[in-house]
Amino acid sequence: MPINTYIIGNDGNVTMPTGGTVIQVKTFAATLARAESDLTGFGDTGKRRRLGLLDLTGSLNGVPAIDSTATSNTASFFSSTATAALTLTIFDATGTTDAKIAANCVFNNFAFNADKSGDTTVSCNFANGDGTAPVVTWLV
Amino acid sequence: MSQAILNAIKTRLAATSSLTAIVGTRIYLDVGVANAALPLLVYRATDTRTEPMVNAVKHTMQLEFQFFFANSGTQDIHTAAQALATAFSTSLSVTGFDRAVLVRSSSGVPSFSDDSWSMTETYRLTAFDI
Repeated sequence: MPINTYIIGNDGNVTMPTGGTVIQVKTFAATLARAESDLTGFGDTGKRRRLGLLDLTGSLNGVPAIDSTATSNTASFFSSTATAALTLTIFDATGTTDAKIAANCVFNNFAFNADKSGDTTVSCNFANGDGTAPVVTWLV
Repeated sequence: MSQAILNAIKTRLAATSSLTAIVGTRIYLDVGVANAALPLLVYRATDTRTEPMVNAVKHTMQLEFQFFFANSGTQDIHTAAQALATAFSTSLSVTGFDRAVLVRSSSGVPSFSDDSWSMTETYRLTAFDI
């Protein structure tokens, strides 16, 4: 099938876990990777490699926010050690033509920046955290 | 979009007694009224930018506030700058937005031309729509 849909950044979306709506996301970066082992041995005439478990790592960048209707301490997202569901959507159609990555992640390295002239940012890193491989849907 | 912000700014200016004590109701967007009495205030947006986010849009706006004073005025023009700072010392309520915050990015210097003194204060506005 030929390419008939090009993904544009504005097609994307990020579904944050409960309590994670304290970040209004502007950009994200994600890497799907497996550890690569070189198993080349005597007798091989070319490289022999095997891939390990699938991992997801990346970062979120955005603006810190407050949910004034929250009844719990939403700041706990910034200090929690629990894994939480994160869905990174790159293309989201109403049908099955989706491109997204979902995983239960740990969130770490929250970096806050506030500028008195008006700009405020927060970024954090995330990584697959619950022993289950990220679910990748790519049906564009 | 920006119309709501500009309206909110005018509402705040008109509600600031230290400012209206100087310019009265002579607060205009973009252009002053011909033959209007002095002093008066004209404000305008010189640059607006939007940054899309996942579930919101960040708006930033550069605004100029230009005061005009008569040469024989009894009020020093620089006192108007303080009145403006008072007006924007708290955030603005804007329809469709979380709120709007203005921060002064440059202070004006009084200058004389066309039979009046003028001075322009520059502010930077930040707001997120909701």
